[in-house]
Amino acid sequence: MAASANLELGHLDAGQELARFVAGLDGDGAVVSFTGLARAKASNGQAVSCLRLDWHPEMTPRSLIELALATAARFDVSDVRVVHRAGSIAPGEAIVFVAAASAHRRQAFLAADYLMDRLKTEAMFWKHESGPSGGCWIEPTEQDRADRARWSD
Amino acid sequence: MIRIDVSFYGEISDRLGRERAMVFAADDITVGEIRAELARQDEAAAILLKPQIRVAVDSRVVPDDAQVASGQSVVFFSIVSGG
Repeated sequence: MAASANLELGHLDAGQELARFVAGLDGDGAVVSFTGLARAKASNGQAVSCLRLDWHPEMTPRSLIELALATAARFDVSDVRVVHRAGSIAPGEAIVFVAAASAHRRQAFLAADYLMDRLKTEAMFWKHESGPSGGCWIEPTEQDRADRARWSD
Repeated sequence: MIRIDVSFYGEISDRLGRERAMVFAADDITVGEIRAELARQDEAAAILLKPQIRVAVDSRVVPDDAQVASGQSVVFFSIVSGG
């Protein structure tokens, strides 16, 4: 069982991350990956010109590896990876990449789902959207909290 | 005398800036007392009294009764959101 995390201050190439993750595996039969992208519209329908993810130099990287390790410990997976952007992100750019590998698909699906639900509500980032009409800070939605509550811990 | 570096992350940083140094004429102090003192000094810092504003000491999240020693860093932060 392995887990790794990276805080990416530059560009996140999800395809490259997936290729590297797969290349590091040893006989697994399943890989599930997820890539989250910066949306072009806010939840109120207004255009978003920039998403900024504020981060703390110690707490943010540690939250990523702790969540990856918790995921790897909870499911029967051989490897878990998370790469998360910080800083200014343009619409359409990747914000987050997660991947999980396992012998069979179910555990990899569950692990990726669980890790994303925890990242949405527990990763130490502060999101700020800005657009033509101003900016606002973004908190987890009720759906994000409900998704997190599906898991028992 | 206690000297503590305080920083703010998330929405509260819009009102309070990123960092400030605080000095207390005391031998020990708690996180809750730092919250109260900030709110007393600065009207904009009243937001720190809201329970959803959490605190970390030396990058570890702690409750309000946690003791803070001179030289430690205290981070107040708004609700987090990743992904």
